Amino acid sequence: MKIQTINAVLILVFKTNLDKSGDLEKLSKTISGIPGLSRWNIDLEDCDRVLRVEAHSDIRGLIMTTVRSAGFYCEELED
Amino acid sequence: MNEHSFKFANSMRVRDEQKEQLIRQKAMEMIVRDGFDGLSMQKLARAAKVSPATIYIYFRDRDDLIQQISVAEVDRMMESTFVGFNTGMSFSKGLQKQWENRMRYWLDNPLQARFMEQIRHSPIGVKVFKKVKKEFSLKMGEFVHGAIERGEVLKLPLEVYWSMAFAPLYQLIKYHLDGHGLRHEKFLLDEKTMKLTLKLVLKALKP
Repeated sequence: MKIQTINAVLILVFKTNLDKSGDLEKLSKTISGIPGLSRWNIDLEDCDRVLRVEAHSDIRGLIMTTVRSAGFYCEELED
Repeated sequence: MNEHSFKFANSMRVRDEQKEQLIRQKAMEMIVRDGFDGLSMQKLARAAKVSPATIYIYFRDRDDLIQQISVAEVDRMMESTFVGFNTGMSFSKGLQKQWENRMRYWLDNPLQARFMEQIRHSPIGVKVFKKVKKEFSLKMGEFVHGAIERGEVLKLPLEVYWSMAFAPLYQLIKYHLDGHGLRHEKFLLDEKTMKLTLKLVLKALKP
């Protein structure tokens, strides 16, 4: 299997309720500063407004806390 | 960063190439059948029998998905077009190789080929094709100009040349994929029909 565990990027996905680009701006102020986060985006076209994060470590808890304290809904998108 | 180093933390699963291929395949099917607007991550998840979360392991969003598939398919098409071909070939040998390769690509990959036709004029497609067009026109240009210099082919305006050299092939491919020709009789593009047409094309392009 072609898996590299060294430097592995973790993909974290969450269901949110962000709705417009203004919400994105609001969130980006806080989320971008999270250590270990390398890249993130929100698919506003999807009904689950999926927040997708690429991170160097498992920062699920930190992400959810951050999104919630910015005033949005955030849960892990379950399989 | 290694492309295969993604890991899905929510369930700590790892990248599964077969699953990714299936997602790509289903996405192409949806786009060919229903157009770009017919594709959503939710519908795609249902079609590929995976969870939406799984799709997001591989793709950031819908546009990223379309872009990634387009890049991969364009590369594949390009590679297959130039198999066994080099720009120094004689005009008749080189054009025959081009016809064989293009016919093979379309007949073996009808879904991918239709997908490419669909994306060709979309904003994402235009961006992706731009890169390929350059490489294509460089190689094909070198081939044709060499042949013109050697007196093997007429010097013509590019559009006239292309219409003569390739449009007949693509029309035959279209009939083949439709399954029928002009009179709705069954039509199959085989080697013999291809070579017959190619012979006439080569004759017409001779100085």
